[in-house]
Amino acid sequence: MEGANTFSRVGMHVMRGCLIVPIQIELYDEVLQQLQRDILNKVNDTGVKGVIIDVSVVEIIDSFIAQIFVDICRMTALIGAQTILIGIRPALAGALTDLGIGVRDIHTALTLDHAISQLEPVVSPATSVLNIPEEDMTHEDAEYWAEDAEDEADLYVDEGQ
Amino acid sequence: MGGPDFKMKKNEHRVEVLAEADVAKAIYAAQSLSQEMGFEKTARFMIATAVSELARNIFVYAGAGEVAVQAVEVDGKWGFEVIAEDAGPGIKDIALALKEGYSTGGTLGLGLPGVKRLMDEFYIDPERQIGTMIVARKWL
Repeated sequence: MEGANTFSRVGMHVMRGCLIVPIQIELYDEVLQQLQRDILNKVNDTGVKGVIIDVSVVEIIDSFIAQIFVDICRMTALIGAQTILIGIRPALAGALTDLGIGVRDIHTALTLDHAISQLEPVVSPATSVLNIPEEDMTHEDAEYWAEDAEDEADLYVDEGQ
Repeated sequence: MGGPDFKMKKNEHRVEVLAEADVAKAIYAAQSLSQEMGFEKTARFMIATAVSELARNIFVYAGAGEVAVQAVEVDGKWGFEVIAEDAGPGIKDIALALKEGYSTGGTLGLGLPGVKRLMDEFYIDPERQIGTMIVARKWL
């Protein structure tokens, strides 16, 4: 993609089996598209089953930005990871509701702690594949993700370009 | 509901929307003005989100246009007003564009009904032959 290195990217790291994505830059179209790709690649590479996106410093979420987050949730679900948005401030929540962004579309948690607790049954290495409710994961998913469930190292997006 | 019928306006700020970065400029103008006018935090977020939506619509659907924000007074009441104007393809069916879930731009399609809910008054100029003009207001 043209100009792939000219705009800022969001750094992300793996912690306790979750991919943590703290958004600390302004969300332009290209940044969001790149973020979407980066998250999907990282989930694919590391085999994490949980993604936590921190939007606590995001100023405004309009329907376009919300759509990208909804897409990220759906796409990561397709490759076996659940995404949770954290840090939606009360004032932003009011605007989002009026905008018509349904709670059903995006999983949310108040804090990082809550999000990790929510994801714990899904990402915990001890659970492995057997304890995960069948409806949450297909057999193909299970076989695929079981192979690299151990990957816990801190990883950043732009490693060795 | 009519079009712009204000008796007084002040602190007008116009932002030309030609690129995506201009959406951020429009948001900033909306945030500064609504804060200056004394809107409380939730209302400021609603206004900024509505302006973001309108500015982004211009960028996505029309390519170029202008967003103007200003304080208006009608019958002793002050309100925040945003006027979004472009010379793009226009809205063929206004009623349809205001229906929940309708979109031609591949988005959630909640843009305009969302703006209508976020603001107190919402008006699309139905007479306009070229492009689109949308006026939305929120009262203090």
